[in-house]
Amino acid sequence: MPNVMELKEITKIYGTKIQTQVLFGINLAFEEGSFNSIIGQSGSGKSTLLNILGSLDRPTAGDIIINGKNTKSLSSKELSDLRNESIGFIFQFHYLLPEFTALENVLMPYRISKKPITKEVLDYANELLDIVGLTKVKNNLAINMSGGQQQRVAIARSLMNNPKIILADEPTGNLDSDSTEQVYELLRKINHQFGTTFIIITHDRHIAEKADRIVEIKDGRINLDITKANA
Amino acid sequence: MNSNYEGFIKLLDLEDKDKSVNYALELLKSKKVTLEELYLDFLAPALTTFVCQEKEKEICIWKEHTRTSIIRTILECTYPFVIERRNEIKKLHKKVVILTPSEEYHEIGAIIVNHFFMLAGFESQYIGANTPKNDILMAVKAYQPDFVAISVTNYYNIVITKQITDGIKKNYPNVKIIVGGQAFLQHGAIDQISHDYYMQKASDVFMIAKEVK
Ligand code: B12
Ligand SMILES: Nc1ncnc2c1ncn2[C@@H]1O[C@H](COP(=O)(O)OP(=O)(O)OP(=O)(O)O)[C@@H](O)[C@H]1O
Ligand SMILES: [Mg+2]
Repeated sequence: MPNVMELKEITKIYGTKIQTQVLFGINLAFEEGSFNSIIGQSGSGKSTLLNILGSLDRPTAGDIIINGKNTKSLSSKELSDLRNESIGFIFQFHYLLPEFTALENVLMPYRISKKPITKEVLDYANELLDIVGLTKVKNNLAINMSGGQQQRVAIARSLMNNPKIILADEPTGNLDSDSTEQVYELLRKINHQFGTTFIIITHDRHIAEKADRIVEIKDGRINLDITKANA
Repeated sequence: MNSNYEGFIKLLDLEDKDKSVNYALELLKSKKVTLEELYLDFLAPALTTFVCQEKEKEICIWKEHTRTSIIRTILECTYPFVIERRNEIKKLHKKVVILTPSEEYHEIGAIIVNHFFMLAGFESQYIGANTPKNDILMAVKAYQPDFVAISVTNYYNIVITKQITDGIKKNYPNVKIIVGGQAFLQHGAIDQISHDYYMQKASDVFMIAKEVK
């Protein structure tokens, strides 16, 4: 499988007066359709790395190649277009709008970009809510849903643009073990069904041990990188 | 394959613990098989080739546990045979500590390897499955072994294994590290772990014995 994402010699230094180097020459490539986990101690640089992967943040040095395009040469507008069409994000705190329904939240990327919500778009949103098992509560306000349900809404929302890649930062960080298992099963289903590439930061051993690959970050460097033999 | 294997598997399939244990021990007593053969050609494959029937999916884990328990009993019952053999061979005067890292509950491989070390003339101690990192480092300090052997099955446990082997190398650089087990079949795993010996077969410990003689 070709690589959907590549990092070359990525370094990150925060601050100007007082400088802290957080990433040191990271090289990583992710294959299309693979299911990857990133683990490491708190403060090791995982979120920094994921934000750079998702071009939410720029590295101090190094190259990011998304879908074969080096992002260095892109304008801000081109970069945000590339991001919107290729990458979906899931965070530990799902950032749903509490006063809107599950369905409205899933449609939010369309509202924000002022794209028309056609019948096809609406059907797709409903289908995604179906996939994440929320058909029955799709018209409930987000505020009236459980943590696990809200996280599943966030997952459906991240899929709205059919992204090739989903970046998740501790998607099960505030869920109990049963909901964690459900969310994992769901991500795997999406991975199989749509061939979506997953890169997931997790502190949860049960998620990491089921991933096809484990990348461990330690003090801003790759400490370990193993891929399952039958993956 | 040993002609008695089929008979052994039949008893295991019936989950007849008493008969399975007697059958295996009888093979040893009558010298139809050696200890090494019993471990590698009977006990190990009885577990590694264990597959669930489709119609028994729900009780699969239970069946796996039942079989593991029978194999484990047989394994422990072979200990007197190990002592007998050990009395006949020359001691190497080398200490080995063997263990599985924290969260690693697969221990049949480690116990078999422990017996192989004894058969090869080592003074070998199995300190348990699921051993926390700090306890391992303390054990190394207390026992002052020449070798630490680590058995890892689950792929995720490579992460903690790296911390353990790095810790041993840093604090006790003279202790030799031997690693083995199914986890190292994963891509790139072994290259990233500090070790002196990587072995796939329990019988490979005889090679180390030759080296230290
Ligand atoms: C029995 C068993 C269990 C038992 C273990 C009981 C016990 N007290 O040991 C129980 C039920 C607890 C169990 C639990 C789990 N298991 Co399990 N289990 C097995 C099974 C069926 C047999 C393992 C075994 O004992 N083999 C026999 C021994 C003798 O073989 P061995 O370990 O490979 O050792 C030999 C060599 O590798 C070598 N060796 C081993 N270590 C060393 C060390 C040195 C230094 C040297 C020189 C040589 C050496 O010598 C041995 C003799 O030849 C395997 C299937 C399989 N393919 O092996 C799955 C298997 C290992 N389990 C598996 C899994 C996923 C699990 C669970 C996560 C849950 C689950 N779905 O079942 C839990 C995890 C528990 C944990 N956190 O550790 C997977 C592992 C996948 C992976 N790559 O990570 C396997 C492969 C099954 C599968 N195909 O999915 N399991
Ligand atoms: N905007 C920032 N300015 C300065 N330092 C930062 C900034 N963001 C993060 N850091 C520092 O960079 C290091 C890595 O942070 P990062 O958020 O990537 O860690 P992490 O591995 O995601 O940790 P956790 O598991 O706790 O989420 C930390 O020491 C953090 O304090
Ligand atoms: Mg973080």
